[in-house]
Amino acid sequence: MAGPMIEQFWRRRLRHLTLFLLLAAVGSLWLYWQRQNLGRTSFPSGYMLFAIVLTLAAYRVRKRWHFLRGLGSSSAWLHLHIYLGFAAFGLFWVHIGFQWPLGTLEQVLATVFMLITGSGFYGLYLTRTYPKKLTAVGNEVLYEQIPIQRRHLVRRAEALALDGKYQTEILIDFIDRRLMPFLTRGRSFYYLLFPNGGTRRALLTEVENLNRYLTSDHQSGTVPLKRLIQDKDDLDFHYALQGRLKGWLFVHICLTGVLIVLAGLHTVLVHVFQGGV
Amino acid sequence: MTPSPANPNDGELRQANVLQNNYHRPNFPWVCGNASIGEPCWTGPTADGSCGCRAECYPIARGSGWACSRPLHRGGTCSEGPTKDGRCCNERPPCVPRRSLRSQRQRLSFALLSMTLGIGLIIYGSGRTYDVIAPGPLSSPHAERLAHQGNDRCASCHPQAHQSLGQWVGGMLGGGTGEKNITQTDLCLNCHQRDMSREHSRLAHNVAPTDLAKLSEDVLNRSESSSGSIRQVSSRMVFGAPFKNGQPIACATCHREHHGQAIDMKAMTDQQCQSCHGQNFHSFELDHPEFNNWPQVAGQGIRFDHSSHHFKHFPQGNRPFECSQCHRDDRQGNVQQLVGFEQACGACHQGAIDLSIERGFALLQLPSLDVDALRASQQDVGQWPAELSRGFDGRISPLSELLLRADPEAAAGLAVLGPGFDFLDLDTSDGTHTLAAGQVAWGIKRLVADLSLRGNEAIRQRLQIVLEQPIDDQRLVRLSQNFSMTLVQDSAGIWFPQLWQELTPEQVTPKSSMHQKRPADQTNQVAESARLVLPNDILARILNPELVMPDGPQELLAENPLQGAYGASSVSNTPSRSGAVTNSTPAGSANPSVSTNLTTAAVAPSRPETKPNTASSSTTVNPPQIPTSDDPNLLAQNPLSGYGSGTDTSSSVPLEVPAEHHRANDREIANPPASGLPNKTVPGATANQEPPAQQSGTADPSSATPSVIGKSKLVGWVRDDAGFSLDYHLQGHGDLWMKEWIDVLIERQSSGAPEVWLAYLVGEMAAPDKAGNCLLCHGDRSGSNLTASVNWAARYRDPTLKGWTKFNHRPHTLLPGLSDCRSCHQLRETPAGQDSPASAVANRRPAPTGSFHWAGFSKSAADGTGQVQLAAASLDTAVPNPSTEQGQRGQDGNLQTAGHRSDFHSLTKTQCAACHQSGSTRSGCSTCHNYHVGQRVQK
Repeated sequence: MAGPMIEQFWRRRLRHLTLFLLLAAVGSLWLYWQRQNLGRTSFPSGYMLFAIVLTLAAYRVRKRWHFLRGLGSSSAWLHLHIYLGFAAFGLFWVHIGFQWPLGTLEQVLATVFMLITGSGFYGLYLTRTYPKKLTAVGNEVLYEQIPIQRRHLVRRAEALALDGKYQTEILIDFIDRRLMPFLTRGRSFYYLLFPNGGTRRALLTEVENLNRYLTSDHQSGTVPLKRLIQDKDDLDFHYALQGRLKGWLFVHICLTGVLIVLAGLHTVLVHVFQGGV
Repeated sequence: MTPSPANPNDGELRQANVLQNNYHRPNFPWVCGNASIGEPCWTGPTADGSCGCRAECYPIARGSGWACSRPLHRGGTCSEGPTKDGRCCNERPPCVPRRSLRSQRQRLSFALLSMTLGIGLIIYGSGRTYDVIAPGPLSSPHAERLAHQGNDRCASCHPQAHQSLGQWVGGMLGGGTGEKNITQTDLCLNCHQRDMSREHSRLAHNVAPTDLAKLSEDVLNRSESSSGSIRQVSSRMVFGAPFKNGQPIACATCHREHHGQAIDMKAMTDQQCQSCHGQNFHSFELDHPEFNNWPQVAGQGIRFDHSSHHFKHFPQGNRPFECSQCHRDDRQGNVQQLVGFEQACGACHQGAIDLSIERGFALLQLPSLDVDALRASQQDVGQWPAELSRGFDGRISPLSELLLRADPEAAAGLAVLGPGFDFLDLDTSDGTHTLAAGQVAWGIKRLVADLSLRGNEAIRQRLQIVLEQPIDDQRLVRLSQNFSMTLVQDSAGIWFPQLWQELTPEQVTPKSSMHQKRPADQTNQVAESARLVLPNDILARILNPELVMPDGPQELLAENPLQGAYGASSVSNTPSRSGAVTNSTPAGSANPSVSTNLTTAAVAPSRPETKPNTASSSTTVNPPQIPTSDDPNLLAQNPLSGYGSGTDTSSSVPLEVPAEHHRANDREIANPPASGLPNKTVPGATANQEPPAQQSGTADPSSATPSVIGKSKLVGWVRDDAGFSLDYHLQGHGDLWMKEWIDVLIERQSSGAPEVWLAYLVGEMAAPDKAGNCLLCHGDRSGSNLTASVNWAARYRDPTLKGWTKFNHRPHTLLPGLSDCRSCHQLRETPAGQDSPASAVANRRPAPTGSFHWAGFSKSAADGTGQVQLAAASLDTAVPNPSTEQGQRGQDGNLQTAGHRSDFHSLTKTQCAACHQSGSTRSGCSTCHNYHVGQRVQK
């Protein structure tokens, strides 16, 4: 079953990629012809770019308003969004003549465009790589439920501490002094930027070291502690990576309105102040 | 981090989800405030963002009491039940709901958008809008030009800059901006109006489409491959034809602003050039066409044979032939300047020129007539000088003939006799001949009278009539060169003493519409001239300076100070041609208007009556007498007796005539006039002693050869009483009088006038073998005596004219191998026997019909608008005429048109390509080619 699905996926990708390259080639040839004939490529490329930006922004509208589902599935819109994003990036450099603009307004506009485009590429990278990483962790956790999961882990730790099976001073002290802060507190900003297993390994080492001071009966009580540490670290890993998956949209979406407004103003200005007449 | 393997506790996390049983809705704008601590309520916040879970349930009124409404999954109804007032018994403190991520994004989007618009409005209101919306700094020339214009600087180039934002948007949407009639190109031309005319500014290469099409066709015809490259052909197949000829091109199409101060706005890429040109060149060294006769005819205005001078004349004179003798570097080190005639040519050619002009040019020349024969043919010419009344002989001078043609009666006579008619050939048996002779004779007398009456104005009016073109004041000054009415008045008094008895002022002035349309001031000038009573304005200055009107073109006197001095006796029995008899006109005044306009002068003579001149038997007029010393108001002697107007030769001041002048006029000395006047009057040496101002830009006085010019030589107007002529003696090379007369005739001829007489006059004045030898060197290159144009400048190149090609000598001559001009400009060796006659010189120049110069744009002489026109004259690069090209290429590939023989071998592309290659020296199109061609508009 997986074989035909993969084959279908690659066929679709090949079909879309071919269509994209074909359209890009025609557009490039047209712009080249314009340039060869003393045409101002900035105008046609600008119009194309503005149209692409509007189409890219329309993806959000499509996702938000379900009555527009007749315009295509959200998945198809996402594909179109990705391909047009690449096209917009190339067209942008053609539009500015591969030279960073010198005017204030144009610089702001170009910066906003590059932020949106860059965040889009980053988001594409995240959405194509992070799900695999998160799947490898094993738990399927919703980002919004992470606090609840974290609270549940705290309760499990509290239950362990109250369990008579583990009523040793060493374990209770470890739970109170080391485990509970790890479970209740968030991770550092550095961890959010570079998630790593250093803390988990350190805590697990400490739990292992506790065995030297525990009787064989009490040593079995360290196993749930290790699970708590691993679960909490997995939750933090989810939190860090899913936070990124949520965070890039703050740049990508929030600047879209600014981009459209500035691009519209830019269009008006270049038409009013255009030379060549 | 290393993800942990499949967690065995996965089931516990899932279980936790199930246990919580919270259904999250990310699209909701609010989430429970306790969610961050992992304990969200089961109801969640309300829509307005307040806590929706302040109690376990919201009791329901049931009968007289309240019932618990806690759902089963929350434990069902509680045992305690609601309170009496209907509140839940398990109330808890409310949370502070938080916004969801989606809501946060929306708020941030709105904030950024608001901030952007706010900043935009602030900028819009701050007056610094243009600083922000400017797409980049201006180039240095424009930035400097607009530096002090503040916010108005945008409007200098953008017509809509002063409009509001609403007008901008409305204009873009088609609502009209009100400024559509003004384009940016128009604004460009407000400053660059000298570079090109508005009419042609938007045309490709600033050339009219028809002319450009002709050039393109010509270039394509001579091209080996007229088809474009595969690249361009395929492009045309897909997208259609490229830029079309005649399609307007705005300045900003190529000149893009706002790319920084250091940008070179004039820089053109090869791609821009080849966007229109059908044949693409990949590089100069590979596929640029071979040169065609370049630069063999570039920039040379005069007929100068480098070869004969180099190989024959200079070696004969044992003198080295160095390029730098004539060609000098300008300030930029470019070989542009030529030294003047005196320095370059005078040493050898000045003598020949002086010899040719020694006789001078006659403005007036009386022919000899057989008065009796004419009278017998019922053609009474009235009084005619006795010395010239014994038979038909002599010609009318070319200039006299030109001026006579303004007189309809004389013109009719000249039409019968033909141009250059020699009265020796007059057939007295032919009535038409005698009639014509009489008409011409009277025309001459009217001309003399007109000149004596109105002077320069007579010349102007007659030329305007004949040449049908206006003569402005500056040109008139050059044409007359200090011409003095007094001179003609004296001549008239001597040649035709009864002139004003025979003619009236109304008869001598030709009528023309052009004259009548003269401005009022000039008409008044004529009127004032008509009131002149003086025979000599210089004497008037001496005698009555207080009466001289300072602001007139000529000083006018309230009364004639010489009244009577020239003889106040009137002739009453002399038949006038008009039948009128004037009784009070003093003959010497030479102005009949005295009798009509200034009667007070006539009735109050201040000079004693003089006796008639017995020597002049044919005249009844008393010539002016020398005032005696008895009159304390007058000089002891007539200071102007040397002008020839006196009668007493013994009392006249002997004029020191140069020796060579005597030699040149031996016939006059041998045959003194019967009137007893000085045999040679040279007013030019006295009244017109000042030679004409240095006229030629090339004739630098400081560099003139002193032994040739300005030493013991007659210059200016000279009256020859023995020969009955009034001559102008040229000052030598660069005489402006001669240049102007040749110009005015050739302009008329080049305007398409087919008259035979005009061709004759041009030949007489301008032919290379005539006096001055002007067109031997300055004629056009056709070699024809009847030249169609004159190249006065030694260098033909017009600094205001831009051709298709450009070349800067400076960087080339700095190279050691190219410092010698002859390293590139290699002279041909002139075949023996072809260099001495002028025709041979001319024949080495390209004939206009044998070559077509695609670079040759020139402004027509009559066109002052700067309109670019194709002309046969070449500027720099010659392109062969296809009709004459076949079979005329030499072995070196140079053009060998009929009659064409350049002094130099053509440069070859290989010579240039030795350095100009891709990757080394610049070899782009714009390195050698100009885009904007044609005449700069002169304001």
